[in-house]
Amino acid sequence: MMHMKEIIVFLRSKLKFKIAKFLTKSNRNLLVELIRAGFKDSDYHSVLGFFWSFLNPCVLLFVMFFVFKSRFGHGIEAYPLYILLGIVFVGFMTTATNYAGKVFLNNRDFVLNSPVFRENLIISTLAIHVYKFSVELICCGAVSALYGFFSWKSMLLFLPLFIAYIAFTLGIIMVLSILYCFARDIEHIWTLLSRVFLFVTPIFYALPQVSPFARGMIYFGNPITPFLISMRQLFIGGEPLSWLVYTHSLLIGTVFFIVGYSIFIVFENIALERA
Amino acid sequence: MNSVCVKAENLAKKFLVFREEKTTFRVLNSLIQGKPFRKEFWALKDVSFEIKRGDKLAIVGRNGSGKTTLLRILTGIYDKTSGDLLVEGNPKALLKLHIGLKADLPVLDNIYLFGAVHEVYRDVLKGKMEEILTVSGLGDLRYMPIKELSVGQLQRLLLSVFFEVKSDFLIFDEVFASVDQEFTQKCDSYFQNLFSSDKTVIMISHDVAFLKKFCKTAVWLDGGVVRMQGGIDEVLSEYGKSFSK
Repeated sequence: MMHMKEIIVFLRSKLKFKIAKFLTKSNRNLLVELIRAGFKDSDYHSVLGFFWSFLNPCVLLFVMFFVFKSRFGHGIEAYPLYILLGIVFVGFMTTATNYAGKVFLNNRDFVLNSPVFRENLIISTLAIHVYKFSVELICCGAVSALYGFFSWKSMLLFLPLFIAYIAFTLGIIMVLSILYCFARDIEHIWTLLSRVFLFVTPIFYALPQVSPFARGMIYFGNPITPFLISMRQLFIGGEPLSWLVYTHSLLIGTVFFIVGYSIFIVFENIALERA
Repeated sequence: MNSVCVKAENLAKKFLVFREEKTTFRVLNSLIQGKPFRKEFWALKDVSFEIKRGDKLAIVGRNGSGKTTLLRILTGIYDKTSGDLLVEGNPKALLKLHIGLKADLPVLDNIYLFGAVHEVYRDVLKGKMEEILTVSGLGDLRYMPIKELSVGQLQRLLLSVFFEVKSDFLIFDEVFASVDQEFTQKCDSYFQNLFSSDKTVIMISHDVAFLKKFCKTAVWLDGGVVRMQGGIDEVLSEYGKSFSK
């Protein structure tokens, strides 16, 4: 119990210091420069550049739609949009975590030889993926409008959900960035899990189409599911928004971020010594 | 009387290193038998010293004596394992040159990036851009990806950017090795100004002549402990004798 108290006191003092450091002009300037350079660097030497971010979900959508339409598509309104939202949501989380999780391994020299605010490296890497995710969601919004589902109320409710999903992803990245420093096996485990997420998230099927046991496991065991259900309720609109699921999503985002960042703060120095 | 800028008392830093080559079998075996597969390695032990504001201190020692570890603790990169440390102000450290760069991006973008890492803002660098590029001899190569530059060109460029850092407390870790003769003059002029100012400077270098020229005091680290500290001539003389033993 005492140990827990010590951790809380440590977290509190560290957090104060971190917030102060984050807000300094020099840190904000570094963050802007890192994001700017990251954007320029991300599509360097690529012929199609930014369009790759559209091409990947489009190919997956095409394949999934034609393979699963007859088996799972019946009874699901706007099935192509339904799949597209699933692909975009899972795609963002898996890609961002796979890239940003390795940020300390890829920038070992940087973090061990400069007293920079280390979260900047994570945030700047994540920023590129958030930008691409936002553009993909705008495309989903456009498709939703074509179906006639668009409403301003949905858009207002979308924003907190979007922020919570970013916070959820950031929380996972914080933990991964620490774990990667201790064991490279995490990379293999996470790559495997990323593939598993494609199937244990209701991307091409709906929860009522699976067994009650699987439904419970997918909803409560996979934190992406509540986000995806809420987002679909906002974008597709056939089903009224479930406030319980919506609140559940916001809670997941908040908890994952707080827990992830706390783990990051406690272990960052120990992890970097072993990176 | 100058006020204290850095005060270290019984500072120690411990790392955990592998006892033997790490293999999956050995790690699993250690876990099953409950035997630790890492052992303690003390990079610094009972290090005590004081730096007054405006001091120019050299830290000398053989490779692996704990010099860089000490600087990393001073700059907050590493946590100390035990002891007390007081650091007044916000030291700006150049512990390694090629950090924070994006190899595929042009020279210009990397100048802004490297500047931001060392708290030099874009508007300051814009005003000094021509001077930086001229001094580093890269006037015509500003749009070339930085990975195409030679080690020497890169070193000149990055040092030219770092010379724009404004701080009352600067730390350098062996970053001036292998600069060419032309650029050495530029470095000398920078250090002449720096060392005649009231700024606090900590310098690690294996170049004894360079340290004698600019530093007034020195700390000699040996195997993680302070072997000697005092005036630069005295410490460097004893340090030099240690090689002939």
